[in-house]
Amino acid sequence: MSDTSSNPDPHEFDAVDHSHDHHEGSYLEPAGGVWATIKQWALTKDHKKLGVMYMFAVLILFFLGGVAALGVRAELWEPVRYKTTTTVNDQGETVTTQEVTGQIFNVGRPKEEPVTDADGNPVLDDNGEPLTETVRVYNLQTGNETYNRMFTLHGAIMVFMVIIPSVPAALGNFFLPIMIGAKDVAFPRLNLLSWWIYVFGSIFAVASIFLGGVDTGWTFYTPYSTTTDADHWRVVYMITGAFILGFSSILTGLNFVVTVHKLRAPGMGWFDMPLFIWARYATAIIQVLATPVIGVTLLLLIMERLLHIGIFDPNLGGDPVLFQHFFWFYSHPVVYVMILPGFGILNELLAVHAHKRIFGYRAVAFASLGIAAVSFIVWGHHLFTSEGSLAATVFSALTFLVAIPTGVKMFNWIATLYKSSIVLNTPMFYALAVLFLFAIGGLTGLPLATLATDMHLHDSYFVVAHFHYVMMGGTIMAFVGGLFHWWPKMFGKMYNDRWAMVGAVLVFIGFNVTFFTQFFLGTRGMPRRYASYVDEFQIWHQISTIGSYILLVGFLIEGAVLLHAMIAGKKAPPNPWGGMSLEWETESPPIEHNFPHEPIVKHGPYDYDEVVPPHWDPKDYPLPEGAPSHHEPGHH
Amino acid sequence: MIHLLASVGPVQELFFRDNGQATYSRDSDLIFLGLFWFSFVTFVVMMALMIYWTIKNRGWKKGVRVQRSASHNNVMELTWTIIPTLLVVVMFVVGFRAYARQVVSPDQAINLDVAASKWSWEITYPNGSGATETTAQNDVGANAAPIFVIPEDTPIKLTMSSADVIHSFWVPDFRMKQDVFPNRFTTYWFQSEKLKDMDRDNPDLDYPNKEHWLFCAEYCGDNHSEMAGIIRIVPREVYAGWIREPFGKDQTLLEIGKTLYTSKGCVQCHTTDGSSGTGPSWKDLFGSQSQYSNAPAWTLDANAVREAVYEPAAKIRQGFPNQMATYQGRINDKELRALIAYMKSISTYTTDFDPAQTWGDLDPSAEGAADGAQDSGAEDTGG
Repeated sequence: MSDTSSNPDPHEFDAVDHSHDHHEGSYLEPAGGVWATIKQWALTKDHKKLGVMYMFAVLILFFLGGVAALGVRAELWEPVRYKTTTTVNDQGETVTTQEVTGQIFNVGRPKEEPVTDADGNPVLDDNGEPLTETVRVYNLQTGNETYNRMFTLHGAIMVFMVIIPSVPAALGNFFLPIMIGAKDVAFPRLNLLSWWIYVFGSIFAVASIFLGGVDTGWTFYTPYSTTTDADHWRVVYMITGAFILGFSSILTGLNFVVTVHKLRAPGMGWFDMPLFIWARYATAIIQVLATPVIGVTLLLLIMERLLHIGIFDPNLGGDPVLFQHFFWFYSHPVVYVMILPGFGILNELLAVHAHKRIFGYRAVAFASLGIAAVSFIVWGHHLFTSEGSLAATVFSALTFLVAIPTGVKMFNWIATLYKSSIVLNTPMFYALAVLFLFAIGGLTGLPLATLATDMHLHDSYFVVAHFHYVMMGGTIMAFVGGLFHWWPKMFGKMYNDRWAMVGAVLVFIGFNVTFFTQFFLGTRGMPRRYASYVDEFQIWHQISTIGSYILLVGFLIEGAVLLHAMIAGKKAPPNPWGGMSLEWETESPPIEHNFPHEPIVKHGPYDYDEVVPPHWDPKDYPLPEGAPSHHEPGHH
Repeated sequence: MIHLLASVGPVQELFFRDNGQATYSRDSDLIFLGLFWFSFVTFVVMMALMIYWTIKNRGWKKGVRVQRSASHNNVMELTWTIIPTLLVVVMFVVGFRAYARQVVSPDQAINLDVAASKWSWEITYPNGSGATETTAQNDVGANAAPIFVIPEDTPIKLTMSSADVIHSFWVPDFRMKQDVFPNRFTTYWFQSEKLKDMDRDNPDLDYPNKEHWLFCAEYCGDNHSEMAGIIRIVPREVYAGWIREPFGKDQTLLEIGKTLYTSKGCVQCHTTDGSSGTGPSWKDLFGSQSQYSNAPAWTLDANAVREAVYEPAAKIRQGFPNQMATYQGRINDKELRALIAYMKSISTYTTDFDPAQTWGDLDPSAEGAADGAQDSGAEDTGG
């Protein structure tokens, strides 16, 4: 590439042969015209383009789910109360009126009312039937229903459409092939299919929201979900959406398992893989093995809802606890589909920005597999208060097993910092934030695994706080950290690190203010999914709500920083951080086929104390005045 | 040592407001605080190391070989695998032992029945009565909630079932919850606390008592957050008196009807101000001409109310879903008459109503047990 030839000599280390005058451009280069470009992206088999499309879909849905969460937090600013006012009217009678206060959102509910004439008699239509009209009623109950739809929307979007595909599909697609030195995934066409299945499934789910939303909670517990009076079809749409999304997840997982087995670059053994790949590999196994179960379960749910085949509804001869077993048999392993890739990113962030081999590489890799294995036998801990006490005892014991590999990972990460060489930039800040937040999330899992204490904490805000510390403090923070880590690689542009850091600090503060208070709400007796609460909890809820808006500001800044970088950022060098895994050895953004020729791996991903990686500091890397960027035609 | 931890009052108060009140809740509080201090120390040590090494090791020069440092150590790996393993075994065993006390009820407990339905709790006592008192509006929910009296220092065993979806019985002060299902019984037991002297001497109370929130902890639909109640611990003699005569003979039917309207959960679906909820409002309902979607129009008289209560699906009001569960066996004849009195009082379609009629008037013989008559009349109303 002509515009990189003025850079410092990239050593023999680099797989990109800069002297060789090839004609392959960046994967971001547009095709001929607008339509050609759209077609090129829509039908692409390039894992990088698919990764980028997943990423934007995830970010848009994250925004949508986030707005719902902010709505939930706003609604909880005040408890729902009746306000009774007594007035004296013109005739001297006392009139008491009662109104509902503390509800911000109330979409009401349509209701058929008989039409009456002035005397209160029903009006009949031409056939002699009483005439009815549709009126919209607004009261305490419809307001609560609106709240229930908001939290269902938040949960369903965040779990099925954001967290599950965030790291695995978005960053996984982009970086898994590059990091093992492959040209693409093993089955590029299947990869394209997964993407369109994801889009299709998301459309179903989002459609059910725009048609009015569902109020089942993201867990669809029966018999509530099969009997709720929220419009029949919306529930079916939402479940169908989740069902379809499952296939996307299975196919992606399958694709990645095969890719890791078959397409590693020459010289890359299993223990030469970056730990992100190990984590993503463990995740893929869970996706392939567990997701079919939720598919079957949701299908049964749809059959019960539409055809009244009794499986879960006791009125039809079914058993609601069976649904809980089915549901969590998938959804518990899926918790690790969500968190393991986050762990994977954390490894990369720590290794690259602390310039140090991850402490206990093999222990961390095996811990990923260990967590994946144990994840299949702990689902029952979601049922401590519903299943029998023998089952609860067994599952409590099994659940504690998760703590061991997770603890091992945690200790190894902390030990990685020992005698390291740290650059405290935004990605590193996110890595440290994840360690901080995940430590809290993990440790608060202990009283939930302990039977005696879980009897109190189950289904309370303590659980809400715990899983937000793990899912958001762990996965989402790692995902955002990963975005800042890899943004220069993905789009070839640097971002403003100072502003990114301001946003990151706000996110960190906002997160803790929002969710730390919820631990106390939980231990004090606040149940989850409540639209209202006793007065005593108000101060805690208000602190939490303030925190959520700090979080909003933080994320808006981060979004602006990333967008600004894409549009107006300085050109990024191939290896801005001095990383050693293969993605840093190709161009930023990578060329169409990732590497000009198949890379040969001569060193491990974290051999910082043996090899000095080539590194281009953005400050030392000014573009010549008027130099064409990758995006402009005529660059070759 | 664990008792030392529990003596740290402020932490207990920060997390729980107060000590756990059932006999077994002290154990789970101790375990929680033990885990808390363990976690606190672990967290502080980890974060201190993280921050210390981050500050100490800042600085990296590009193009310069980094400092050499150990990147694995099998002894350390084994240590931090084995020690946590032993610790979690201890946690499991301690947690299990306390759990066994939470779920295994003693033999001599007082047995009470709990019925859960969207969105109310009902406890049926051995005398067939339910709650006879309710909170004010806006106390635990926006709606008034039933108050259940429980004698102090007594083992209580609840046998629970649900009429519709899954609910969960949670009294935070007891640190215990149990899901309630439509297709099986589940049980919940607790040994109520002894009232302390400060509860006895409280001049604001009619009689010494202590109140605990009761919540539904399993999401059950629109008014999930209204599904609350109060467990009121009272002296044994107060409970014994109440069991003999749940409602006073001098209480008017109207007054009792109003209480039952809340304590039996009618309030969750039927308003009294004319706006419609899940069911029709009771305002101007009694005596009105009523349209049904599956039956001819009917004047809503006492028998129609009776049918609606015991066989709610027989006639579905125009414009309303078939949502109501049967109250067969949950509202007896006398209670039904009190409810009708209340309905009459807020309807302009009837004048046949004596506001002064009392509970005692229904029951001339002092022996008349309320539960004897409760099921007899239901069959003749169908036709």
